[in-house]
Amino acid sequence: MIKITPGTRTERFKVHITREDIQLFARSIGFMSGIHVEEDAAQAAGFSSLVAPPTYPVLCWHEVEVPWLARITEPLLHGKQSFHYDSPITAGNTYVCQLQLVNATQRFRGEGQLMTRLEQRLEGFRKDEQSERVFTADSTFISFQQNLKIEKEM
Amino acid sequence: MEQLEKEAVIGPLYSEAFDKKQLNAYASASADKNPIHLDEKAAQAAGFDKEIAHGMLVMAAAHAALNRELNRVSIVDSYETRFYNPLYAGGQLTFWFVVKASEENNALVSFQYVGKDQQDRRIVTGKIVLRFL
Repeated sequence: MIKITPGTRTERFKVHITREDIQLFARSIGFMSGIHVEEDAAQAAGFSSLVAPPTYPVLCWHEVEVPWLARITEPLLHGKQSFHYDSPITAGNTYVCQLQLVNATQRFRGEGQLMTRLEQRLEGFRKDEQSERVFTADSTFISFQQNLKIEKEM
Repeated sequence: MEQLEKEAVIGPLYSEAFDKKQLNAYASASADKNPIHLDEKAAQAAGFDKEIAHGMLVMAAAHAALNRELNRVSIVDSYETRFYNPLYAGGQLTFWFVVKASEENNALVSFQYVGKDQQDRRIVTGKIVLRFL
């Protein structure tokens, strides 16, 4: 039985983002010009360096051990995703990130198959004294893993 | 600069085909190596006909398509998407956007959107808020 507990957080972890990281990601999603791949364009728009495309925080998911996902063996499906920016992610900066399992629910669907819905939040903060939040990424994942048990925190 | 009128429809905007080469490139760039995107047998074992595109790639493609069409410098303030059906490898998407609100003297504009595949199946819907610079 795999037990998962809403409220669980990962450790805080640092992600340093380079121009090359942003360029590689931006090109893989079809940006061949503009503020995501051209330094001149980013600076002309008033940024210190390249601006990450909005879905860039997905890369941070793989930078830390996520206890509520680590033991799930069935494929996870994406139900919903949102990104909210307090300020843009720009190249040359280090962000302090943390993931939290916000909620987990289970229900039977269709022919009686158990479906688990995991709601997870990733937050990224500036690595300076103010440590202001830069981005929030909320995800809803669906799993059909059959041996999951949700344990609410006491 | 042309103003985006409320309720104006932008589309159809066509994505490139989400072929295996692109899925592989995205898997590598995003570090998402979930085999349902890369391996036909793994996708079938998970109940799909064949490999499916990464949801995050589809979401990225919608923003890229809107960005290309508007051809104005902007950053994303917020962006949310709901996934309804898988997009199979080799499939292509058509996106439609509707201007829903405009604030701060048209600097902040929100769009509702839908993405459908060639069979007219709804793959994604969502909302994106752009800040024009």
